[in-house]
Amino acid sequence: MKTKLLVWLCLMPCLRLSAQEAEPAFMPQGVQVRSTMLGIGHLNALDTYLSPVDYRGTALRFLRENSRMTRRFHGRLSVQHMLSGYAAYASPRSEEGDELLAMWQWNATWHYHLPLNRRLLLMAGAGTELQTGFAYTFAGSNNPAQARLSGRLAGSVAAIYSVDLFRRKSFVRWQVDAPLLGLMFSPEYGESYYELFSLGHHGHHACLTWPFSAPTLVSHISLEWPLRANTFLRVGYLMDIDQRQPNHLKQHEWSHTVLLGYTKRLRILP
Amino acid sequence: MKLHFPSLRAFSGRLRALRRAASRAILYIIGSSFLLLAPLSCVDEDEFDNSPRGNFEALWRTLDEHYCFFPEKERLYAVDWQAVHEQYGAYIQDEMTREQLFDVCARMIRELRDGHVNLTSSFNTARYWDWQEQAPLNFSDSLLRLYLGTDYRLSCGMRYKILPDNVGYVYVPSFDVSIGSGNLSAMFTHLSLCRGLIVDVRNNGGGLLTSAQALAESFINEKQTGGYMSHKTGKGHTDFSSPIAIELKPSTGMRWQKPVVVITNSAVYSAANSFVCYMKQLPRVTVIGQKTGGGGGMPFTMALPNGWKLRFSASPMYDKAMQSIEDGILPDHVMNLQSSDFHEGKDTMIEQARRLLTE
Repeated sequence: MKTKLLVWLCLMPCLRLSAQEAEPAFMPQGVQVRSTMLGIGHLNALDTYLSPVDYRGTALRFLRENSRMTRRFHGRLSVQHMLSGYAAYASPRSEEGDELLAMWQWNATWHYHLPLNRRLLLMAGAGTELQTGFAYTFAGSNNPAQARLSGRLAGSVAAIYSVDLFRRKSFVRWQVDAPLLGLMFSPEYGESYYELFSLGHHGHHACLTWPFSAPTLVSHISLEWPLRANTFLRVGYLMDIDQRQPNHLKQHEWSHTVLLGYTKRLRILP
Repeated sequence: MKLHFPSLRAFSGRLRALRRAASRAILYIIGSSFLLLAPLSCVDEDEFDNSPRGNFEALWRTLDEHYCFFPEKERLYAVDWQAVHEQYGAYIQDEMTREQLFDVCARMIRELRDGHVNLTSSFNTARYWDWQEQAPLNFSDSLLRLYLGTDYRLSCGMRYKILPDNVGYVYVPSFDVSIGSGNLSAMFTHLSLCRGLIVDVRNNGGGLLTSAQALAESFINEKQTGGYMSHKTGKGHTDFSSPIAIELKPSTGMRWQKPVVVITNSAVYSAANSFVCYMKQLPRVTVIGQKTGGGGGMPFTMALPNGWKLRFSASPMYDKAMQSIEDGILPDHVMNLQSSDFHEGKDTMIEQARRLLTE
């Protein structure tokens, strides 16, 4: 009961509900929902391989999302492809010795649709993630940079709520992804990249990740407001809590990003 | 007897209700799991305050968890790192100035007697240079000028020339610059008619390990082990990986096949120390001079809360016999610069090397 209440509290943020019962088209068959968003936000990064101090800075984020319904499970399964990336410039508290981060991620997620009523669609599913990137400190000597490479299986829940906003049928979308099992690359605790690449050391570089070693959560809430028949303005907030503890190292990138973009609903030709 | 069958419609309705209930249950389970995931512990490091105490503790702990020579320093110099904390921690006070804090930290890291352990601030660099400052350098740049003159060749920082007795001489002051096989081939082509080669690395404080390796690989014809390297696998003072061989592969360019004399002194450190380690084991190579300064640990750099940079040895290196090279390498022939030779404008070591190569 508490969970239900929490879900409802999260999904009903002070929006005017329509008294009329219109048929919402969350994601109709034969339509591809394509979003492009750009965002800016705050990032807090830590990598004890590079330095034991936190780096805080600004991140610019790009997000491209394609979703469509499939015909599987009686047409209740949708597939979502997401390409996202960010570049960030961060400084430690002392503001001496900055850090540059760049990350690129591709997700493919399959959601099973469970419409609760005509306004609310709940979705649950799973997907795969591939992530690559790097962190570079301007102060390091033999440990100036750290590479990121990981592949993960993730669980995903999402909800779409149809709401009339300024007399236009809009959609509030909330999606939470959490990697559940994966593999990531990491040098060993005090291992230099010289040993890795010049000497060809093959140590424990493929690390298993799961929620207790890499508690990661991505929450994305957005509002889609129609500009034209098939074009929506999309405003969103993305919370990306990405954490890992490979080989006794500690790494995190916590970011909070405000996103702005558009969504197009394109009819797929049969 | 009349059997009662529920109508198909009712059955279908119940099935739908059941499916709906099951779907909701699955959703609630997944949703609850996510809500449970959210408060999972943050992966974070205890961040020390930017105060004298906070910076001192950050310095001590970073070394405690990452420095690689504690077992060796304990054996050679009886360094007890916990006792060092108690000793120098007693000097830390909230109202002390940054210069005073730096002084305490500098004295603390000197306990490790490691030239690779430095603390760098905007106003000073804490260091341990006894290995070169407390020993005679046996090197004179004035004498070097007499040998090199002004018409020497210069490539990648290496100064080379053919001496009057047809002996090649190359002075390598640093490995800071990347050395390519093309550079080495050009140098060896120029020196190819010489009877032998003197490689003088005196005062070479190191640089790129790959450059030291590239130069050493010009003197071998077969792949061989130059030494070993290890790294820390955890925070414990003895958490090390099994050593991995540093393989020297013959240079793809021109390779030197004649006798070589390497000249060292106490200021040979870090990558230059590794170069001497690689060269000493080669059959046609003789090392003369003094024991090198050491520096057999690859350094990492990390920051303190106030922005001071801490450099420390992170990965220990060993010679082919798995002996640590942190404390320096003894030459085949120990010799010093003689003042009588100096007054005659002669470098004792270069003269001895010439004799070894011409006799």
